[in-house]
Formats: sequence, structure tokens, C-alpha cells
Amino acid sequence: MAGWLWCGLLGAAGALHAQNASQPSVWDGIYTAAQADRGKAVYSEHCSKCHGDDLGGRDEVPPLTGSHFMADWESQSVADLVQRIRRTMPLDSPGTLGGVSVTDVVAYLLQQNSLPAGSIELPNDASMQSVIRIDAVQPSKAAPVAQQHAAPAEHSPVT
Amino acid sequence: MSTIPAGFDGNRLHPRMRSVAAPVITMAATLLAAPLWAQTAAGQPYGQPSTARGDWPMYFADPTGSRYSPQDQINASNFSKLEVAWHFKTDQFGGRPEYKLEGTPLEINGTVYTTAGSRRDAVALDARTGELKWMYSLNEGARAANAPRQLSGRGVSYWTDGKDDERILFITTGYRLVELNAKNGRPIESFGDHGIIDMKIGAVTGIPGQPGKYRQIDPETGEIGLHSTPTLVDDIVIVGSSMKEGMQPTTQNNTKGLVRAWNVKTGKLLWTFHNVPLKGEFGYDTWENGSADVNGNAGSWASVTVDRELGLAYLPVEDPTNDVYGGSRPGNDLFGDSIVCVDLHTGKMKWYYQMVHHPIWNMDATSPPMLGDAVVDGKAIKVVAEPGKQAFLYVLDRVTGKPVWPIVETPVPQSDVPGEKTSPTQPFPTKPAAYARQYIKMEDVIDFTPELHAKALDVISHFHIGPNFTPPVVSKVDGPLGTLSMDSAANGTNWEGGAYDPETHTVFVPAGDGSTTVHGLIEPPPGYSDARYVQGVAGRPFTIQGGPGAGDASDAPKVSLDEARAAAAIAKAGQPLKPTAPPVRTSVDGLPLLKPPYGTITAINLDSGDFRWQIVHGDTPDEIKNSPALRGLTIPKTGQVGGPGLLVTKNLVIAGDPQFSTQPGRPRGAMMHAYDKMTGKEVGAVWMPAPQSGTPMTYSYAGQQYIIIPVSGGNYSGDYIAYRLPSGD
Repeated sequence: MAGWLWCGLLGAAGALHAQNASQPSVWDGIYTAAQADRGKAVYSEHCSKCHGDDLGGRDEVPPLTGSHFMADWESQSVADLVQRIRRTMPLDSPGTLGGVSVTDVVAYLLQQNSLPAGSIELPNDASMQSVIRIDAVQPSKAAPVAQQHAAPAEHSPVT
Repeated sequence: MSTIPAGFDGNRLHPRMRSVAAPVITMAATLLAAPLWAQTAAGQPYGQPSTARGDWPMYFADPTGSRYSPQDQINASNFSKLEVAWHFKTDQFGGRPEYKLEGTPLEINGTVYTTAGSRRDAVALDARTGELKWMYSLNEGARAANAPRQLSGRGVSYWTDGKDDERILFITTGYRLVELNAKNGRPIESFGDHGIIDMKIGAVTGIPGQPGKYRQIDPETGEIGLHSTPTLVDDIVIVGSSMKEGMQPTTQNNTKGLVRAWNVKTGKLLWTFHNVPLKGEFGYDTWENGSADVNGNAGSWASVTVDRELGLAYLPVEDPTNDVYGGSRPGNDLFGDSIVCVDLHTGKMKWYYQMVHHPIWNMDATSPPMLGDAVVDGKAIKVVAEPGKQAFLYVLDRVTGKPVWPIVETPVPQSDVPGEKTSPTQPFPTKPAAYARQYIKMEDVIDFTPELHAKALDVISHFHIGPNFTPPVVSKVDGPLGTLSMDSAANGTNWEGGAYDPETHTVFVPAGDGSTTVHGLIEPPPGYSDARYVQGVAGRPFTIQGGPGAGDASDAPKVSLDEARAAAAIAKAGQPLKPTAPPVRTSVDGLPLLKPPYGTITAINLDSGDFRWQIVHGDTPDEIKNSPALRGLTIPKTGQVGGPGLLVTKNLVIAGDPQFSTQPGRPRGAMMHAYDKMTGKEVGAVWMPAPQSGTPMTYSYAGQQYIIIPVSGGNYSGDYIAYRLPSGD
């Protein structure tokens, strides 16, 4: 449908691991709301039993929203996340989710992590997914919070 | 300070592991026939290994559970110069890679032993190069697929007669005790059934309506398993037990937790301790109306520690069936949430100490009870110290079981849940102080900005809150949705436990802090369970909350037994699939409800009960650091939740970050930190490609000290990484 747009993204320059505002990012509206709805159905049937109806996880099952999840996938590509799910999830029957299902459920995860929807679906194609970078914060607008690195902050006991 | 060790290229290690042939079914694969490492050049046997000799012979270093080794070649002056000596990816073991590598390897005289992969194979590696020497793989089929505790677990155990006989023992996914020849990985034929003891034999449930009668669990489908390692002392091997996550049990009459000991040479069962007492045993009457017969769990999922001289073993016991509702087991429910001291040779109980009466807060005894020495008010005491999820360190005289400092029975809030009867009091240690937050206090609510504070207060208003030991409440769509509590999975100290420094009588405990969760109760769909209430939130579709690694094993069935039962119950009840309430979130704009710190390490002086120091551990998570809600603010380092454990050496406390993060000056990854053990000051750090996911260890061999740390997470599959100093240093 908009193959020309994806060709442009494939041609995007720059190493994936360098933060580059011109590189396609999950902040660029790279899935659709309808796709996320399809992904939600997949999630409810296959994923919620361990990761929770609220994506909050539990005990040794990690949450799929929030800082721990975004830290896990920061600077990785959408293809990396799709590949990981496809190969190892759900835990009781890995490798059984059809390719489109995994792409759709990733669209749902992006939606649940407050990433914007757009007018073009996330393509079910590893080479195209591999150039889309996962960023916890929108790259061009990120203004990192000042950090004290010189010495670890001492903390008095809290009771 | 944060240089990238040689062996890394950007974000990826150069894989150097040799790939292995297809997994072997029911037999060991010997890759190197000649036992090159069994003897020294002079032909003398190596004898008993020890940390003093540079080995790491047990999961937690030695039978006292110290995680201490007196190695000092790696110290404050050179820690940041550590290089990757070798690394061992576990991808090719089992049918798919694992992303939660929790094992702590052993090292004895130049060979490293550990478990690996989603089939929990046992492997031996060259300690200098990581070369694979042998592997052992047992395909257990459906029995492993149905097991409650999966993936590669926490490692193996080692035994020697001090001469030529060396053995490796470990517990399979399907709960078998396997004993192998340490030189070649072949089963010891004379032990059990050709090297295997089926530990499901002897595990029982009750029989409703028949008090004092018990039923053997089914060998294929019966629920029992274990991640942790057996404890080996002299010729005795001690093994605990665990079941699935207990918040939504399908029956209260679950497998009963137990601890057993076998003779390592003959395979003879020496003793059994029933964590859930059988009729006639001490503690049976603490479950009212004979309810001990028809309740289970209360396993020992952390390893047992041992005082060899005193001939005593210390058992950590978890919650009885149903972590959140105890209506079917009124009474204190011994020995749930207790430390039990038994005779090493007979298993007879010497004393017990229950940390939570009538447990309904998921506050299990999580970790091996550490054995140490203290000199309190001039008096020398042999102590046992148990940390926990509620961030108390319980310090007891390990001979008598009496608290070293007073632990006071204190009135606590009572439950209003139908059928529930809570204990009127709970034990509160007076010393040491709690080392992380224990309940929601208004002054702890996030307040970086007034907006965040207001949003957090609004979220909290949907829940019931209260002081320590506030019980769960029945979940109501209009509120309260449940009791908002500190998260028993992430807060305090979990399975990683602590470490003990015998030189200074100091216990070091890692802790998550500031993590919250909701304990709400719902009635399960009819037919799902005989429990009156299980964990859940009103107005949401009922989903089974799977346990750690449940269904992960290489041959896990497509639909688990529980899901089938739940699906049938839901279909029959005609439950609506569309929720009538929004999902429950306990965060604000992606940030936690409470202020930092989110991860700490505390050093506790056992001679005084006071903290030597407490530090924040772990770089600020990226999503907090980069949060738009915090733009323009300066936030001190917050620490990270979830750190799986630490290691103590002559001068250092060593622990890695439990999360990925991005910092200036290094690629995305995590850091392994070294702290001065007397002051807590960070003295070095080295980059890792992924977070620490299991507890590190250290050994010295052929004049070099190594640290092995298990890492995994996100996109990075399980990897044991061995660090050492550069050659020539």
C-alpha cells in the first residue's frame, strides 16, 4: 500500500545502535489501531495467562509495560522483539504463533506502552522490522534528566 | 571507570563456544574420555575442595551459605580492568534458548560444573577456557513439560571421597535426583536406579474425608519440582521441594512440602521432614480442624544450610497452599514461613521459628539461612540469619532458636474476608531495623513534581492500604480493588538471599524497594478450584497466573492442564469475556508510585544489629532517567529493582545491575559493580552485555582469579561470563 514509504525507511542510513533522529523509530506511527486490536485478541488468548491481563507480569514473569520492559528493548529493533517472541513464546508452546500474529501482538504492546499509532500497518517482514528502532523516549525530543554520577547517593535507612 | 573489556564488539560478544551435537537422550555424552584433571602432576588426589583453596564447591560457597571466598587477586585497585576470559552461551542446550539464566556454577580444581538450557542439562567446562568437557541430558518428556519449576535452575552440587571418587548431583526438571561421575558425566550405576532417584516417590497429598491417610502423587503429572541445588555435607545429600506459584491454586489439597536426605553413596533414604505435619506429628494441631491433612505447599524452595560441627541443618519453609487466602487452614499453620532446625543425621526437629503466623502475604522464607558468628554484648553466639521479602533480617541463636535481639509479638490489622481468620499478632524484630520499606506510607508517595504526586494519590485511592501485615481484601469493582502492598515478588530480598563475611561478622543483603502490588481476592470460576478465594481483580476476565517458567520446558504441552480446567470452568459459567473495569495499573506516567530508592545493598553488623552502611545499587533505569514527566529535574541515582544476589571476597562486595540501562560513556548493557565491603564505596565497575540474572561466584586456578556471572534478559539469551585480570597484571 505504501511500499514507497517502507523503501525509504529501508534506505535509512546510520547504524542501528547509534541514536539518530532520522532513523525510523517506534515513535513514528509505525502500526495501526486496528492492528493493535488484532494483537490484543492474540494477547488475551496466548499471553495474558502469564503476563497478566494488565501486562503487569508477576514474580518471575516480567511486565510488558514500564521501565523494566523498555529498558530490556531500548535501542533494539522491532525485529529483535518479534524474533524473541516468535522463538520462545508463549512459554508453554513456543514457536506456534503464526508470523502475522506475532507482528500484531507487538503492535498491541507498542500501543500499551503509549507509542503512537499511524496510518500504516507494521509490516510482517523481518528486514523492514529490523530498521525500526525501539526507543523508550522520542529521540528528537529527549532531554535526559540530569544525573549525579560522581558518587553513589547515600541513603539513610527507611523504616 | 567503565571501560569495555576485551572480547566485546559493540553490543555483542564474539561467540566462541563450540557447538554441540544434537541433545543426547537418556545418556551422558562424553566428549573427552581421559580424565586429565582428576589428579595433580604428582598423581595425588585433589582432596576436599574449599574456598580457602580457591575453589567454589557449593552453590553458596560452603555449607553455611556465606557466598564468601577469601580471594584477593581481584581487588579495588584492578577491578575495573577485568577482561572477559571466556563465556559460555547456553543457546544450544534444550529446544530453544533460555532468557532467564539463574545458575551459580561450581569450580573445583580447574573444572567448572553447572546446569544449562531449557532442558536443564548438566555440563562440565574447563575453568581457564570455558571449553565444554562433557554434558549430560535427560529427556523426561511430559513429566518435565508438566513440572512447576523449569529452565536450567540454580546449578549442581559436588561430592568427593577426598580420593579418586568425584561426583556431580543435581535435580532434574521432573524432580529426579541424578548422580554423575564428575570426570565424564556418566550416571553412577550404584546410586538409586542406575544413577537416578525418583524423588516424586514419597511426595503425597491428603485424602479428603480420610484424616491421617495420604496419597502418593502421580509420577507424570503430580506437582513438585525444584530450582535450587541439593546440599551435600559429608555423605548426606539434602533436597527440598517446591510447587507452582500459590496465588491461584486449583486445589487446597496440593502436594505437601517436604525435605529429605539420602546417603550419597548408597542412595538410601536417611530421613524425611514433613513441612506440613502428618497426623500425629508435632505441628499438626496448629492447622485447626485437621486441615493439615487437606492443605499442602509449604515447600523448601531455597537450599538448606548446615552446621557440620553441631550436626544441624536449617530448612527455609515457604507459604502453605494459597498465598493470599487461608480460610481453609485456620491456625498458625506450622511450619509455613518458618526456619526449622533439624538434626543433620536423623532429621529430627530441634527447634523452629515461624516468621509469619497463618501466612497470607506471600512472605516465604526465600533463601538459604546464613550461619555466622556474632559477639553481642561481649557474648559469643552462633547465629542463623534469614532475610526476606518483608525486608526484615531474622537473627536467631542457631543452637537454641532464640532471637538474638527481641522479636516482639505485635498486634496487626485483622481480615474482614469471609471465612478468614488472621493471627492477632505477628513477630516484629526490634533489631536489625527493616532494610527496605514494608508498607505504603503517604510520605513515601512519589513527589518529584506536584502533578506526579497528585496522580499517584489518585491511583492509591482505589486501593485499601495499611501498616505491616494489612490483609488482602475482597476485590470490588467500585473499590477497593485490593490491598496495595509492597510487592512480595520485587521488594525486599528474594531467592538470591544475602551473603556473610566471617571476617567482620557482616551480613550483606540486596533489596528491591518501592515496588508495589495489589493483593485482591476474587471467587474463582466454579469448577476451577476448591479454594473459596484466589488472587484476582473484580471486573476483569479470569486469567490463570502462571508461575516462574511454568510451561517452559522443551516439551511443554500446547495447553497446560490448568488452562484446560480454567477454560472449561469459564465456558461453563458463561463468564463475560469483556471486562467491566479497566486494567489495574500501579504506576504513574510509567513511574513507580513510591519515591526511590528502588534497589539497595545493606551491610548489617551482626555484633551490634546496626547497619554498617546502606547504598543505592544500580544505575537509574532509562525510563526514569529519560521520563518527560521529570524533564529538567536532577534525580539522584535511584537504583534498580530485582538484583539477583551478591558475592563477598576478602575486600569486596560484588553485584551486577539487574536491568539494562544506557549511560554516557558505554553502550547499552549493565555494569558489574565492586564495593568496598567495609564502607560500601564503589571501587570499580566493569561492563556486561546484559543484566545479572543469577548470583556470581569466584575461583582461583593456576594463579589466576576468575569471577563467573550469569547474565540474560530482553534480547540477550543466557550466558555465563568469566572475567579475570589481563595477563601480565
